[in-house]
Amino acid sequence: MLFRVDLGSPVPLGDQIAATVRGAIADGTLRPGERLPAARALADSLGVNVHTVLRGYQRLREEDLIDLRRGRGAVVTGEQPTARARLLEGVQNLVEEARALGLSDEEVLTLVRTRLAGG
Amino acid sequence: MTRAWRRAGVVALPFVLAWAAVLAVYAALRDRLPDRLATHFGPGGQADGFTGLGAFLPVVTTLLLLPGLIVAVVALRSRTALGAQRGLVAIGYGTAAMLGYAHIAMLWVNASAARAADVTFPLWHLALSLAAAGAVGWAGWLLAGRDAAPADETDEAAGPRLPLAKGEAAVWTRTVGSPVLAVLGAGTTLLGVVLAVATDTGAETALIVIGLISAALSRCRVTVDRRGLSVAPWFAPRPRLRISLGRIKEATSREARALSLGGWGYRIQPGRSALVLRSGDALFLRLVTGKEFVVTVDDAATAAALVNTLVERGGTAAGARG
Repeated sequence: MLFRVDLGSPVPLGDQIAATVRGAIADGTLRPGERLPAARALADSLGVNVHTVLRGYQRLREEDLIDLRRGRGAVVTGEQPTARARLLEGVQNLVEEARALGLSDEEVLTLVRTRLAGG
Repeated sequence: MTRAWRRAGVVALPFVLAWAAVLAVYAALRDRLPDRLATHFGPGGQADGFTGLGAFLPVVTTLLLLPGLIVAVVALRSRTALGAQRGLVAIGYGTAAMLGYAHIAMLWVNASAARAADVTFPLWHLALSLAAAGAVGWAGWLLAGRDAAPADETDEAAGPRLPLAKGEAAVWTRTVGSPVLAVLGAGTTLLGVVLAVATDTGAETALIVIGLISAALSRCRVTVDRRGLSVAPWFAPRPRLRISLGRIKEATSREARALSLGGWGYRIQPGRSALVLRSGDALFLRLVTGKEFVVTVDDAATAAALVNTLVERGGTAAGARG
């Protein structure tokens, strides 16, 4: 898969790395059970700090897209990661558009809650 | 095809010419040649081995035309330009010249002597034959250089590119597995274990080690980044094979059969080395030396595009600096 980070962008590098992986899972480039490159190796390749990569991986783990285990590295999880990654990308878009419109966090949550309640 | 035939002609030419020259001298001197030719000479140049005159032509024909035929067939089957194997062509030319000179000189000394037993072979003939080999070999070297490697067959359309913003860093990485090597490695290890249990030959340790190495290397991670291309086992950063960007001229991708690359594993052929884990999508790197490096990996098109982009970027960055 192709990792791309823009060193001049205001978006944190860890988030950019997470977004690349999320995108690759969503479009099927990365399949369940596939292993991500070791954080140290990826950091060397990109020329960034290893903690930056680990922050991105940690984020993906919080989103249940990957498993992080000592000694085994980062592996794409087996439970519908593709659909999950697409959903997360949708959430990301929602947040970005709401921010662009100037909505507060509370307003966004209210919108989502109303939608959920309406079925 | 015509190019392959022309190459075959070029590599076979010195052998045919040497053979024709020996034949011409033989025809000219035939009346003066003894029935038994002195064909082997001691360290002092005194004849100590003899061959019937009738055997001379078949032996010369075999010695000169057979190698000529072999190099022609090899050149016909190879797709490598002669320019990429100048050394080999030069050795062929030199060998043909030395053999041709030695046989002509031998006919000459035989024709000049009254009896075969009196024949001597002055040692300066040896020096001259080496000089002839050097001169003709040099001619072969120059001739092979005219068949330049990059100009005629690898200059296809310019390789693909991947648009990258100025401050953008990109890394392409992918693992590729080899069922063939995995099965082979497991089988070899198993055989070693069975032998270790059943016998006491000492060979089983080597089998187990080789088997484990094959199995371990049956899955590799291929990475393209700002430093170049690297291939390492999937579980550890070393041992690592690396080709730095500075050594790469251009990258392309296409389908390749394992057998057409020389088989599975790390294969070295004239003008090309290849890491072959399976048949299918493969990344081809043309190096600045004119040689080629191939690694079979999925999505090689993206890898090739990134390599070309990074090579270009490195070139302009270096140009800007100095």
